[in-house]
Formats: sequence, C-alpha cells, structure tokens
Amino acid sequence: MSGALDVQSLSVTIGSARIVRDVSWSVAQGQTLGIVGESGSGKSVSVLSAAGLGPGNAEITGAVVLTGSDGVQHDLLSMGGNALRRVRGRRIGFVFQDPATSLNPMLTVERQLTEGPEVHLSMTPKQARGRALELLELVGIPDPERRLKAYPHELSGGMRQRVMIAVALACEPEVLIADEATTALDVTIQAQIIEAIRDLQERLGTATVWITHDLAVVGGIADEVVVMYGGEVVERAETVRLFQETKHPYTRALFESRPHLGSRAERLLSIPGSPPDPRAIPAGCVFWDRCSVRADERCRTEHPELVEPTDGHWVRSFYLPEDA
Amino acid sequence: MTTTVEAHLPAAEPQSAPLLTVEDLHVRFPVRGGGRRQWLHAVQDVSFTIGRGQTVGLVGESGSGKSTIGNALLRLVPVHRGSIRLGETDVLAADRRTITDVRRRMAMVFQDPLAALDPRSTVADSVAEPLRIHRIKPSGGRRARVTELMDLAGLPKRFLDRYPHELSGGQRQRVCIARALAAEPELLILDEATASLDVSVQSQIMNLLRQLQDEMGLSYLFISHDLASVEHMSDRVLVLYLGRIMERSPRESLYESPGHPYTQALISAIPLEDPVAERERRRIILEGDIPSPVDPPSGCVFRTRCPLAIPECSEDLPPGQDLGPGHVSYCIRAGEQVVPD
Amino acid sequence: MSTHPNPDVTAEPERTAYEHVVPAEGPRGWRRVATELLRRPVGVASILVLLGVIVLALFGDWLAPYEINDINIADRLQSPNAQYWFGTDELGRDILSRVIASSAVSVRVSVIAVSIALVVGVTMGLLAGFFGGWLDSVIMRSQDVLFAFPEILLAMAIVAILGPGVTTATIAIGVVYIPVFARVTRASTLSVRTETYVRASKSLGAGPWRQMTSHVLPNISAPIIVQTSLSLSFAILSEASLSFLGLGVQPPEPSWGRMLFDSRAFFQDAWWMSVFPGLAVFLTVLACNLLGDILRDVLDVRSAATAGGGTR
Repeated sequence: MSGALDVQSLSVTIGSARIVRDVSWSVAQGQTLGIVGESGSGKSVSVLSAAGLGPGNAEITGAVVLTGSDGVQHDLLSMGGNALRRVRGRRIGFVFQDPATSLNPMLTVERQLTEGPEVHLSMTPKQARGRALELLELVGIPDPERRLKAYPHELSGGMRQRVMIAVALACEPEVLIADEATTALDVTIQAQIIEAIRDLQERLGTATVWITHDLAVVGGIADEVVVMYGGEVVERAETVRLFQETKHPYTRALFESRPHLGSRAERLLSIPGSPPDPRAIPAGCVFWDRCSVRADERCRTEHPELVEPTDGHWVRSFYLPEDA
Repeated sequence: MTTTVEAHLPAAEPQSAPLLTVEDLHVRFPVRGGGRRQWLHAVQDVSFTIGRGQTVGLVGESGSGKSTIGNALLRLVPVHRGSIRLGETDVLAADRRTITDVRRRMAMVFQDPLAALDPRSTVADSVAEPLRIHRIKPSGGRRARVTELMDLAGLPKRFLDRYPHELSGGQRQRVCIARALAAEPELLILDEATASLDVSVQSQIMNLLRQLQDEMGLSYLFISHDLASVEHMSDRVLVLYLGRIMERSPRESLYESPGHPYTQALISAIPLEDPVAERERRRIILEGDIPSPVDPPSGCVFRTRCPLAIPECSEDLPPGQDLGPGHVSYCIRAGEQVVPD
Repeated sequence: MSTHPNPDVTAEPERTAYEHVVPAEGPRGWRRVATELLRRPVGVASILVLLGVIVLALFGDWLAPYEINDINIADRLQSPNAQYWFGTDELGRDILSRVIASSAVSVRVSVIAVSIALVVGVTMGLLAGFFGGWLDSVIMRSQDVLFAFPEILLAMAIVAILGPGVTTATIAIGVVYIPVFARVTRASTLSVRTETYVRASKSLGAGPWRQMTSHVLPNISAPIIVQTSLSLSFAILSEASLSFLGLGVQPPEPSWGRMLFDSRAFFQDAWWMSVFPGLAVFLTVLACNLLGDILRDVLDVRSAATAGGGTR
C-alpha cells in the first residue's frame, strides 16, 4: 500500500559522518507513525531531510515519495527549491519542539495562521481569517477572537504549541510531522496536547509522523513504531506488537531502563556506554558494544540486515528471540 | 495562616536530628510590571527536613518553585522569609566564611552539564575546583584525589585533560558529579540532573547516584518534573505546585494512594506501559494553564484547574490532612479520588 | 537477556572491541589558533608585515643605512635613487633610515598606550559588568564622559596640560582608548556572568574574585584580544595624527606622523617625503586590522566547540 509519505533507503551523510543509513518507512492516510530514538539516532535528521529541511551540506540518497490527496505523487528528493517549497508548504505541516523559537515573535497569531492559506490556498484575507478562527477552535484554544491579535510571547507554552499545531494544519496538509512536539512542555500540558493531536488526527485523517525519544508517549498514539539507533532502523512493528513482543535488545533495554511508577526495583537496568559517533560507525552491529545479549558471533563483524521474523515486524539483529 | 512545621512533620521522618531543616521558606522575586512593583512568589510556606543518608524528592512542573528551593539552600537567591539549617548552622544568617563552608557541605548538580562546566577548563581543572576553593590539600596530592573522584564517577583517566565539548552528555554529567563530590559534601542537590540526558544514560546516572549514596552515606535532594524518577530515587516525596506543597508522602504511598487531586493528575499524565490499556483508559486532563506566580489564586493555588474544586477552596489555604504515617495532603477533599471524564 | 555486563554504572562497557573510535582531535588551544592563522594567506601576510615592523623597531639602528639626523644640505630633496632608496628630505636626511627608525617609536607608543587602556579598561569593565548596580553606573558614566570627547580633542587637552612629547602622547592615547576596552569587556562580562558554569562555581563556594578571574576572564578573552589588535592599529594612527599636529614626537626625533607633518610644505615637489611614511602607516595599520579580523573568526568559541564534534 503506498502511503501518504513513503521513504525508501534514505541515507544522509555529511563529510565522513554517516548520520542516517538506509532508513525506510511509510505512513498512510489517517495513520500515525512513531519514530523513537535518542540523540545520535538520526531520527530528526532523517525525517527533516526527507522533507527537504535537512542540513545544507548533506548528501542525501534514497527516495521520498509524497502522495497528495489528489493522487499525485511527488518525488521530494529530486525536486528543486521552489517546487519543493510549494509542495512542502501545502502538503506537509511541521510542529517543532520549541514554540518560542518556531513561531515568529514579531507576527501576531492571526498573521502566522493566515500566511499559509493565502499563499498556498489562494484565499482572500477575509477567507483566511475565517479559516484562522476555525483552526484555533479546532486546536481547542478558548476565546479565539481575542487570541488572533496576540503575539506569541503573550501566550503560555501550551497555548503556543497549540498555535503551532494550528499553523501546521492551516493548509490541510496530507502529512503532519511532529518533532519532539511535547518534550519541552510540562507533563500535564503534554497530556493535553497529546489528546488534542489524537483527536485532530481522528477528525482530519492526516498522516502523522511523531518523532520522540519517549517510547511511552508513542505507545498511546502511534499505529506503527520505528525504533532508530545510531542512524539505522533497528526495529519496526505495529505498536502493540512492539511493546508486547519486543525483539531487539536495544528496544528491550529502552523499556526496561526507565523507572516505572510503583515498581520496587532498587537498581534500574542501564545500558552502559554511549551511542556511536557517526564518523566512526563500526563494521558489525551498531549496537554491539552496548548490547548485553550478543548471542551470535556474527554480531561483532557482520552488519545485520532487517529481517521479518513475524509478519509486519522487522528487526535488525542476528539474535531473534522465540517469543516475547 | 500556614501550617507549622511541628504540626506537620510526619511521624515517618527521621528520629535522629535531621541534616537539613527547612522551615516556612518564602522566596519572591521583584518583577517590573507597568507602574507598581510586583512580586513573583516562587516559593511559599515550604517546610521539610532531610535526614542523613536519605533522599527527599521534589516534584513539580514549571512555576512549582522546585529549582528555586534548591537554589535557596545554597543562598544563590535571596530568601524573603523562613529558615534553613544545615546541622547546627543557620544558612540564611551565615557570614562570608560560614556560607562558603555551607557550600562545601552541600553541592549542586545542574540540569545541563555542558552549561555547568567552564568550556575553557579541562575536566581535571573542573573537578579540582572545589579543592582549590576550600584549600583542600589531600595527602596524596590533588591530582590523585581528582583521579579517585573520576573513578568514583565511572570516568576513565584519559578524560582528565579533555574539554567538556569533547565528552558526551552522560560523561559530562559524571564530571559534574565528580566535581560535586570533591570537597566531601554531606548533601547533594540534584536539580533536574537527569532531565537533559538520553534515556539510556539516565538510568546509568541514577544507578551511579544510588551507589554513591550507599557507599558514602550522602543525603540527596532530588528535584525533577518526572514523577517516576522522583519516586524511584526518593525515600519521601514532596509534590509542589505554584510554589506550595500540595502533598508530602513516603515513596510507597505516593503511587498507591495519592491523596491530592494534583498528584493524581500528575500520575495520570504519565503514559501507561501497556499501549492497549493506555489507549483505552481515560486520563485526568487538567484544563487551562498554570496560573502566574505573580498573582496566585486565593486560597488553594490549585483550585483554578482542580477537578475537585468547590467554592470553599478559594477562601483559605487548605490545612494538611493526615492520610497515613508521614503522608499529608493539603486539600480540603484530601483522599478523594478524581474520576477521569 | 540473561547476562548484563557488570559495569552498569560506568561510562565505558567492559567487553568492547570497538575502540570508541573518535577521529583524533585536531590541535587544541593556542596551537589550533596558530594553525588556523597560518592556513590563511592574509593571516600569514599580516603576521609577516607586523613581524617586519617589530624587527625594524628592535634593530633599526643597525639596519638603517644612514644616521637619521645626519644633515646633508648638499643632498637635500633628492628623489629616490640608488644612494638614497627613499630619497632625502629638505635637510638631506635619508628618508629610508628615518622611516625605519620611526617604526620603533610607533611600536613603542602603540604598545604602551594600548597596554594602559587594556589594563585599566578591562578592569573597569569587568567590575562594572560583574557587580552591576551603582558600581556599574558610576564606572560606565565615567566612561561615557571620556568617550564623548573626540579623540584628538581629548589627546590635545592632555598634551596641553602635560606638555607635548612622546610620553604625553602615549598617555593621552592610552587614556582615550580606555572606554572602548571597558565597553567591550563589560558587554562580554554581562553575557558570561549569567552562564551556568559561573553560577556553579559560586555554588561550590567561589567568591567574586575567583569567579571573575577563573571563569569570566578566560571566557571573554576572545573579544578583548580582537579589540587589542584593532586598537594597536588605531593607536599608530593616533600617534601619527598627534605628531602630525605637532603634539607628539618632537624634532629631531622621527616618527611617521612627524615626517608627514614635516612634509607638508614639500607635498607637491617631493612626493617621496610623504608617500613613504604614509605607506608605512598604511601597511602597518592594515596588517593589524586584518589580523584582528582573522583572530575574531578564529577565536569564535562556537567554532572551537564544533571542531571537536560535540555530542548532546
């Protein structure tokens, strides 16, 4: 099934740093894909590069295909400046981590919301304003008439993030990319925002890519999860499967190394060492030096490919546990 | 007006003289606002103690005042009212020499290890700084002591002459921990010490901290917004909101029987481990935003977002209600469970 | 997942065959600065010019072909030729020798003046920026007063009080440059003062003195160094201006500015009397400025940090 956004064998390299290597995933209309990874995993770089927002001096290979609601396909990596900007502005919405720096502090909320529709949807200012009000209501901002005139610094963190979401959705994009969208928010606000996005997604059917380091967050909102480590996809599966039948030792370790409320553990499982330097990617399994399993001799010398031991569940590992 | 410490130091607190006693702490900052001088009330009526070898956790979101409390202990911010005693020493009244000694006996580990280390100092220089400040000359020499501290913090010797930007996040935080331990403090203030680290590294650091506490009998004040981490690390937990204590509880009862609606909301905001259950359950969602600490709500400061709020909540500060040994909830309706909608 | 490696506490796993290969760090600290400088042709050229000036300043006496004050009326106003490479002035003195000798004066005056400005200005800026409050107001208002005077006017006022001469000119230039150092230092201090590592140092028990000297000063050295190199070039110009006005170096001692002063009457007929000293000023000032610009780029802390490829 071709999804709204299809990424095939994406690799991103800057000089000798191989930041992203052979990453493939896709997300369909109405679905949410969670991409989980820590720093150095390449999760943000891969998604942003796919959308043409990657680092300027990077070499990007692979294929990224965006399928619009009109069925037209766009090969993002081969598109040049203006064409890419048009497609991206119209069809992909972005929500970033820090609304303080992502929203223009000099523009009112209204201005930020109407800009997109005026440019990409050819709306008149009056129409665009109407749309802006709609959007504010959509994201659950109370008293939208008054908020239109506000500047970002006059709003609270949670409110700003909602405005960001509204801006992202202004042109009715096919794809929504949320990069650590709730990381900087307080826990109770985070819960609000996650609920809001979940709700929106059901209503609008946008394909959503949710990038985060927090595995637990994707548990509640993603249909499929991709786990990245050291620039590669190490596991990919439908969410419940990933949680209940975890196959990759890294994913396992991620689950088990977090403190759980109510548990009595004295010691946390921890993963020794740190992620690899992208300039020095080892020859064998990229997780080998921190892995506590190391079941197979090949782990150290041979690079494991992605295999599919059970339907729809992909793992990059020589060690394949029989069962959860 | 406020609850006094004597009435509400729960029975479960240490019987021997506590290492640190904080009473009725009030911290406020001036705010330039239009014409009138206004105050931002960062911390109000906070009292607690920490015993030797114990960990007390402070949990709260932004504006809760948790970091300000940590800063106040070291007198890094001016304190409006209240008292802080480290053993016999009155921290707030201390003169130059005494406060320097207080800063030897208590040390802080900051949230961002990269920012907390002088970019132009090597690891060895940073770790040795407390030795220089307090003129400590170990018998084996300072370099040897630094190496010992690096070892305690799990850092290889070859990092001694490296600069902070050459290390990873977790390694940098270990350097900060080594530095904090250099002058043999009695209490460490961990101000969101794991928040900016990768998940896989956070557990390393938490394990390290536990190990050091066991080996050295250190006390900790563990400040974090992450309830799970706080609960894991602490013997007792204080839940803060807008500068005030909402609930104080021994670790065990916090999760099992949270007695304050805010605590329940915090717990509810944490995603469940089981994705199926997570999707099916209803969360407690707090409406609205955290009010401004410049003009906190009257009576109970949480009432504007509280699902259990009743008109009486706006009248007086809620008294503490005992819910068990060492477990106090500052709520008129303490102990009632919020039903998610 | 039955076996866990033992050091779940240490930063390095025990059983690793991977060397944690991080490409060897390039040279650090001053070596890196030097390497960067030498990599740029402009940097190399500037350094060579300045080295040349310093050599001339130190060894001018031996290098100059003629005595600088050898009056030789018979050879007066000769255009550049095989005997007098730069020609002679109205008293028959060799221009080349005088240009060489002048370098000593210029170097001495600018270095001493900038040193005065540096020591006083940085101290004031550091105190003002670090402590703030009334100290800041007092210090910076005094700097504002100094700064408000046009440079030449202020120098002239000081010279008028102390009498003309090289020493006076040096002091005057030094005083005039204090505000710029104070401002640069104060601005940098203000931004560094709030950095976490300074707060951390205070939390560990460090007093203001240690915070300022161990943490603030080293981290604001870059803009100060850049300002120093720029000020050196301006000081040379200032000295030339003062001498041109007759307020600095007094005859018969030569200085580039003095030589320009003396060449006024002969501007049209003996171009060599003004062009060569002028060129000397121009080249030296240019070299200082270019070096200052390059140093600013090279000493940028951010590029120093990313050179090592810092991770999260």
